[in-house]
Amino acid sequence: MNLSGPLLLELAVIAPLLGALLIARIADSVARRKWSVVLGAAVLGLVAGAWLCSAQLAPGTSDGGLLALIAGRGLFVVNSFNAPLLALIALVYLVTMATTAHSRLTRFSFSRALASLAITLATFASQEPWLLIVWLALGAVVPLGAFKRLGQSPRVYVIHMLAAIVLLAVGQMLFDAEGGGRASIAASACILIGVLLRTAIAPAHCWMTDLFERTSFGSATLIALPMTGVYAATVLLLPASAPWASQALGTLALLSSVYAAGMALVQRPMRRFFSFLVVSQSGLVLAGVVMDSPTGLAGGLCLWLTAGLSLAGLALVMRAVEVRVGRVSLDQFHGLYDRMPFLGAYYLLAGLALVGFPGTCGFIASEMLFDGALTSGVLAGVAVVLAGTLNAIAILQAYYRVFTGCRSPGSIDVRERPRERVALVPLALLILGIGVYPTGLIASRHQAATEMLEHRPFEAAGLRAADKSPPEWLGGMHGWPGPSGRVAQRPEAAHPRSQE
Amino acid sequence: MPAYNQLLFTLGVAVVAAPTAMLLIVGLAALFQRDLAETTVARVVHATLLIGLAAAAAILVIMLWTGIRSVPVAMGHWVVLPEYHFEFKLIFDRLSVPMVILTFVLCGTIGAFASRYMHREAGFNRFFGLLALFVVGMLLTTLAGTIELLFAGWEFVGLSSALLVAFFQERQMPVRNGLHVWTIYRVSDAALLAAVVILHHLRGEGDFSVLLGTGSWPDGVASLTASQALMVGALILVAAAGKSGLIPFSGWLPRAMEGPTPSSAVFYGALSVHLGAFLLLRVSPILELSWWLCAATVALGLATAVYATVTSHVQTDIKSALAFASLAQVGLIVAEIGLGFRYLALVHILGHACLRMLQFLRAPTLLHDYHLLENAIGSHLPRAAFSWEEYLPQRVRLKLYRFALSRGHLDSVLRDYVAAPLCGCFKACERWERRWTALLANEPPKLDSHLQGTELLEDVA
Repeated sequence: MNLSGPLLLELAVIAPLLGALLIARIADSVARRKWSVVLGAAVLGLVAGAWLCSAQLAPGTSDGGLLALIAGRGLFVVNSFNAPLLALIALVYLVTMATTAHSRLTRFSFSRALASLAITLATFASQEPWLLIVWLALGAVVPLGAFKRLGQSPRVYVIHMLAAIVLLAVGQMLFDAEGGGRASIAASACILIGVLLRTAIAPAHCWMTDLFERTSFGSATLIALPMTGVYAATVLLLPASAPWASQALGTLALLSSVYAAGMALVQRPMRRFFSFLVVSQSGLVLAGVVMDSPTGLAGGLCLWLTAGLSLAGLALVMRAVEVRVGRVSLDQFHGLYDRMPFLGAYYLLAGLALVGFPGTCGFIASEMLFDGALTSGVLAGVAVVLAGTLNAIAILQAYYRVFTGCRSPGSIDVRERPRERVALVPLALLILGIGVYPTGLIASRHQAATEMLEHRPFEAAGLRAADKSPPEWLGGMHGWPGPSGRVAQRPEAAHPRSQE
Repeated sequence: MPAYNQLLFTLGVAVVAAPTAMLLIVGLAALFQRDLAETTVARVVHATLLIGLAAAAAILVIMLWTGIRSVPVAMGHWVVLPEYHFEFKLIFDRLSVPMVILTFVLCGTIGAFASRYMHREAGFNRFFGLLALFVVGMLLTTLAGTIELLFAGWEFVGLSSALLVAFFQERQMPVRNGLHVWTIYRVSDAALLAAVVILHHLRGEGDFSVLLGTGSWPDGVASLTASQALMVGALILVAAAGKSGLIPFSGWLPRAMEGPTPSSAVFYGALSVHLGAFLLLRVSPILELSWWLCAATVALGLATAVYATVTSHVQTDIKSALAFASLAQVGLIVAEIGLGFRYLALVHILGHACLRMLQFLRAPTLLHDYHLLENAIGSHLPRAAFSWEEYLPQRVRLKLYRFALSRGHLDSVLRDYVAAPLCGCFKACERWERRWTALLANEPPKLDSHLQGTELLEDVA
């Protein structure tokens, strides 16, 4: 048994947990940041190592690690699906901690960030339903400190998270009581609503905007960007849900992405604008993950990573702007480009990547997602295009409002600091690098998509491929990829949970 | 002929690689705030565009010499999946080669002109970075051998256009107009993206040789049914209308004149404004499959030509007058395409682009030129002897004048019936959301004053 992948992952979870305890004892806030960054970099290295190790293993053989040796059963799994996501999470935490400004050192808790990192990694490495629910519950508790630190009420957040966890637990209990197989209506409904709440899919998304308004930008970013709810959907809902639940999830996710993109257009506070971008992208990613065509699913998985990178870049820029000029309102022009040109250019780059501009990391992902959506139906395709269009307009509108339109007064040097540049430049290179050479990423996501589809019941496909006859709107088009292709030829996959 | 293959491949790569190198050097320097000296930028621009032009001219000579009508340059697959692949393939044919040479000549001219015109301008490097992006976008669009590559180039052109309109970014109006242009372009892009993916579905790949038949342009025969062609063609027509400023999207064209004169000349006088017409030419085998589509194309082109002609008569600044004059010609070109006169449309594009760019570049010194001429002849220049408006009844003339002055109310229609309802709807949702969140938080709702008004996107529509 090859232990190196899971072992590295276990170390990546344990190290920040211990680090959180130790760093909480350090009085000097600058030293706290320094050691947090060192730990974050170490975790990123460990996760990258785990990814490399898992890539060398055959599918399904990555379960193991230290806990497996001691207890006979490993807690964490690293495979082609979650390995890049784990790396993305570690990267987001690292750059967020590294770019925390001196003036925000008292508002941002590094020990809590490290604890959150450990729990989020553990969440994404768990494929046992109950274990995942426990990690989700723990992960929901950690951010409460961010509310308390700023003296804000966490009521909206708590209501949503509590409801999500309870519903997920009840749904799982019902599923277990049914003895496996296909989930009943009640179990599917509970898990579906729980996932909607945790992912912040409209109309259950208010906690996301509230979170960004009431906590520090950095803390909110760390909670929002990994899109934990989407992962919960892949483990808890999709493998066993009734077909209607998957279809409802996909439909609601697409509607939510369009709605949030439109809402981003009319926002004034920059934080709310960003939170709606997150909601919109979460919806698109979730819709992609629900799709049953390999192209659409691979596009969704790819978008998960590229949107994470782009949103991280946007968040870092917005946070840096806030640190310099305070909370920014989009109802007036701020003209900050002349004073912070690098941040302006970087915002544009990350924003364009988010909407799938050619030459950036999001391009192929968006095209594949649209391709998959169109396979599911014309309305799904329209929704994906509409969300992308509205997001693109909103992003450039915000760019113009923040960085152009007037000359910003002031003679203090507010350009990016070296620490910020060091964090942003690699992200920019990743955004451009994947955009120019997406082959490796696409191939790995397609492999993960194929493996995921093998574990999904045929009838449970969410945004299903078109019916056997081509849709009338295409006039009986030639080459329409219907279920007679991949799906019909695929052997009936046994549900992994029913084997337990 | 095989003896030429390697040479043609090398030249084909050079046509795209040279401007891409320009984009990398100037664009990345601008992105990472490494200001290059003006002379360095000018040299890079001149050198790369000259190399590209020489390579394109060499390809043209070889094609004429050997009689080859179509030269595909396949540079490999970008993405290869069992169900999806994205090939990086260029095609040099009777349509793309003239457009490529036109692009190099006009952009080279603009590069030389702007290196003096923009001298010591604060955004000198930014201008050339965006110009480089535009050149690459134009080349990818015109040379694309697959519809996905065409879409990528199309997007590059759109972004560079929107950012150059807002070039003077310390003022609000250029920025608002830049957003307006971007908004229309995104609608156009969405239509093209939909067409791209539907075509991909229909044929399993986006290669033009499969989509439009194996015959070289303009002799290809698309293998779609009439209804499929109508649906895809309608989307492409919307995309072309947005990009070329055809009705009902014409309002962005005069707004785009906020940018520097060199960019106005090359974008809205010469190249970008013709991109929609080029797209229609490229997919003309699809248009031919549907009588309705051809009729719609002709109608759209003629309506735009009439609208632009009427409107151009009341413009009070030279750049707006030139913009509408351009639009009138573009309308005619589109009508020619709809009628099936492909070579005529291509020649019309080439001639009109050169003439209009020259007029745009002379526009800043027009009064000076007039004074020189009048001083030389010793009197005022003669005015046009014939005016067709004089033959219209007074009432009709007045109505026509009002129509032209308000630019056909196209902007206000889009603002009042598209942008305002859309934003109003989302603002209502925002109010409800805030009340709901306040209820959950057990706090009084905090409603911003802006939620009562109509600003942001509607302002620029």
